[in-house]
Amino acid sequence: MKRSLFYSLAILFFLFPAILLGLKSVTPIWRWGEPLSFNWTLRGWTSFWMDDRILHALWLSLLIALTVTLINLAVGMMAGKALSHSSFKGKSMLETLLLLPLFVPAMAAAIGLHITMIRLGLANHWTGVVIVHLVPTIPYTIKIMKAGYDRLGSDLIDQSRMLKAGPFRTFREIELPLLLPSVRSAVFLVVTISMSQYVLTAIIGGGSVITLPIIYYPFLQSVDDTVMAAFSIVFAILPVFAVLIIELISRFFITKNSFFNRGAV
Amino acid sequence: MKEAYFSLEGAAKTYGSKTIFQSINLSLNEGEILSIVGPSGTGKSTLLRCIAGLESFSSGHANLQGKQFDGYKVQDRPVGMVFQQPLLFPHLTVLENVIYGLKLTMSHRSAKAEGITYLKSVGLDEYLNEYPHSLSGGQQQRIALIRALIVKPKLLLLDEPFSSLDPDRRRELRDWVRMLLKEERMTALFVTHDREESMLLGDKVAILAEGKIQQTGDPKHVYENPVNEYAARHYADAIVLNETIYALNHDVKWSTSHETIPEDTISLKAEWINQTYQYGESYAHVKLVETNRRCIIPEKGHFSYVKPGSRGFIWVKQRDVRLFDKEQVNE
Repeated sequence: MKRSLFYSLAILFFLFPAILLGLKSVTPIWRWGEPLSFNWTLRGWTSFWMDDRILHALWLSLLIALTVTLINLAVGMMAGKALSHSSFKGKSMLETLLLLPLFVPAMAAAIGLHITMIRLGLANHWTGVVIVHLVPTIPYTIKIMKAGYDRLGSDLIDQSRMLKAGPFRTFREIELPLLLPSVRSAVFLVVTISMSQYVLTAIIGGGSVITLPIIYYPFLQSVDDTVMAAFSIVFAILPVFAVLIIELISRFFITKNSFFNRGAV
Repeated sequence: MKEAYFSLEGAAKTYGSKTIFQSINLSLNEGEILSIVGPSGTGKSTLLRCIAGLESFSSGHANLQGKQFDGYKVQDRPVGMVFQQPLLFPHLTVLENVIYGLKLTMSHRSAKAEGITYLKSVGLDEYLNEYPHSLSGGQQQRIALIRALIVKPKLLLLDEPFSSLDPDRRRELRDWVRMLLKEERMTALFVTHDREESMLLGDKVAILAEGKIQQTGDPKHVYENPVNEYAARHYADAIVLNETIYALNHDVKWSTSHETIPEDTISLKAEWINQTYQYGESYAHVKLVETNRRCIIPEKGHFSYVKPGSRGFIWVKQRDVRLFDKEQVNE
């Protein structure tokens, strides 16, 4: 009973819209009141691919999202571990402080950062965009990684150290594999957030950093829902693709018989 | 005097103004097992963590084979440790767990071969490729011990390794651990709050209470000759009469009324709790009225007519009263 309910809801709310979106991208525009006709068209996809900025935008979005993710993981893991496993004065204060960027409107942060970025020469460049994408993502990653380290506890890390493994080996062979579920959630969240930033990218990128949303949003105003559907599909697939890349990297890093792990001497 | 294999000199640990333990002096010969016994919360685990390097001593030194090692990093200390929980790495198989420390000094292949040989020699090779979650608690703790032993530490620390097991598994595992440690001629420090366990495993015993080592020595000797009230309370079966004298429980008797107490005795008011039977003997559980402490005395008489909570006396003959031998702190 419960299972059938789950499946029917999943079909209704996830599968059905996805199929509809796929169909929409290969059928012409249909206006209310027109007689129902069923024709195929590749116009949505061709006009999407014909835009010569698309490939570059795809690549740039991916590059920015992955860079943001890697920085997020590095910062999030270190901060999360410190917040979870060590005790120091003002810890809860710091924890709150690290969450604050979520409560400041992103616009306010972006405008403030813009001036600094111009001074540093990072404005209108993808690296500047990477930095500004950290604002709405880092707090989440720290939170997720702290929960991950809370769950992991410090005992297994102590045990690894007692078996004479150094910090790097402990991290690679114990912490990272056991934190993988947290890493996955963080990656998915960060990639999705980064890839859907329009305002932050527009302000700091100054129109010369063209990511997918920058091209995508103007299309929203058109009524051409065939092209929109094609766009949306690519937009939804991109984060999955990015997550796959991170997954592959972590596999390579963790695999038991990987290059790093083939026994010293 | 021959220099000890392992020694602690004046070791102390404080957190801020709180002293966990102080002026701890211990020494161990090679291949010897010392049980450190004491009530919970006296810093036994902290002492081991300091020796291991997971925490640092506030003052004092630790030496092994004449070399001071308390300044070394954890991974450079010749010390292994088994914790209260087995702490097997859940994402690695039993074999991978066992050779985790070994892989640091030898190739993956020879580590694997050595791990298999070791597991075979202790009869645990059927679990080689299992993951820890499919093993029972006792088996997990066995694997944890092997994982610590296989890297051949010069000193092994055992932090209440049986405390997470049920009594039957516990008993079984204790004998096995003792046998294995002796076979490997391992020098070990074993921490427990269980007196029986400390006797079973240790060649020597040290009583840690109130942040200090109260007494060290041969288990039987310490049991019969406690040097002060802490040693008496935590290790011996003795009733502390005052700061200088005590009586062993087996010399103490129960009387329901004052008239039945013989002459030349010391008596204390007590409250009857109940009577239990173990190993063919019967024991009276009473509570001393003055100090509110419980004690168990062997009592042949049947007192089933005594109601729990009713008042009476415990008494001991003057000639059985003993003096704490304070001179003899370290036998």
